[in-house]
Amino acid sequence: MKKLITISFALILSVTAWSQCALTYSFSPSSFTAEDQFTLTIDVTGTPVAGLTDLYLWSWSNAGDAYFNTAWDNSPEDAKLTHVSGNIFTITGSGVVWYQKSPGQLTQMQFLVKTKTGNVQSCDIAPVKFDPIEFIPSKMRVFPAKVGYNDVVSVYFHQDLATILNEQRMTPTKAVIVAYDENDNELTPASVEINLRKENTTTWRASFKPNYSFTGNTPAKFRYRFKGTIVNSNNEVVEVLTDFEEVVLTKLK
Amino acid sequence: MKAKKLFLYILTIGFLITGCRPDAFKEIGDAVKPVESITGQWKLRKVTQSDINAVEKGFPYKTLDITDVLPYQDVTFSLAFSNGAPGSFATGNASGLDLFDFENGTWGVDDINAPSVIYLINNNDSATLTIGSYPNSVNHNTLIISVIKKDEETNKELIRYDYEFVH
Repeated sequence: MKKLITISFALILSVTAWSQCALTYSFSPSSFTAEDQFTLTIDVTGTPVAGLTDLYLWSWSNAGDAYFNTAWDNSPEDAKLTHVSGNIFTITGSGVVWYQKSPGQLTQMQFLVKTKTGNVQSCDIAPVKFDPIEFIPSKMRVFPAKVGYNDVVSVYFHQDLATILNEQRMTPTKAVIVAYDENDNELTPASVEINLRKENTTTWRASFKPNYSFTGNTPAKFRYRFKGTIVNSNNEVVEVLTDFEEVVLTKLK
Repeated sequence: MKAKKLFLYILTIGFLITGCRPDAFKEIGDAVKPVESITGQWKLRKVTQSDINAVEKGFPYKTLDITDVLPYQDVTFSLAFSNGAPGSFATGNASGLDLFDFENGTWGVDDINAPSVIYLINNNDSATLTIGSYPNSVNHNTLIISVIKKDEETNKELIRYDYEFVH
């Protein structure tokens, strides 16, 4: 019992510590390829580096460190963040410049904020994906790749690219869509099921229009997955589902 | 004998001169202006959606016919033309499907003699439609217009809708 309390306490402490060092950030533009220039705005409020004005970026990608990750205890001026006001900082860059790799090699990036000597730092951010430069086949995809709430969206299931046995065996029947507003509230109805159209022997599609299929607030994102049936070892037909994929809707004009 | 031959020559030349008169062609009237050919009541026949980024980068999935995804074929589009100038426009359908950001207003073109762009105006809102083809007998009187959707933040062109209308 004592051990359980200790473990629980340690867990609560670590979760609290994590929530106190997580950065708030945004990119402009919000999505970009590894070739595109972006401006990164970081709010360090609530992190260990809050209140400091001389801060530096430490960044890495799937293909290696940023060129300005020279030495942890002596970050160069290229890594220095521009202090805007209060706890807000910015820096401009691009994937190919920062990581010195070709666009095709770069898929995602991460960073943290530190002092020059690295004696104080924030937590790492979760990986940020670059928009693909080349087409990457995947089991589930959306067409067009970037859509708004007022556009027709088509979700595809490519069974030939599935790696989970049940997904490889299933006969796909429906796409299940759940939509959310910008505050992550589920829209009405809670989910929409759309009959799949067979495009070829291994590909199925379902199409819908977010603001036509869902009511309430403006849709900001949706999650989708595919439903199908398989015959189990008892010769019974059972339902199987793929995992959900999430799509953030782009603001279009 | 010589005089007879000479007479025949003169007679032949006389026939040729008097016979070669220009025909009187009928009046063909004023040329049909392209701007007038796009006016009237149209019914939506086909909708195609293109991923502009996929087209530019040569990705395998570029366009999709979405006509039957929603009741697009119920949609009507009318462009009124009066006193030699564009007037009002209206879109209509029974299922609440919005083709543009607003359903009615006035319209204009970039060039009244050879328009390539139609502007739809509703108070402070406007929409730009690119004309893909004027209706004529070759394309079975089909009006093709395109609408490009851009990223609000970056202004990057992302999606193109091609609408085919028939009378």
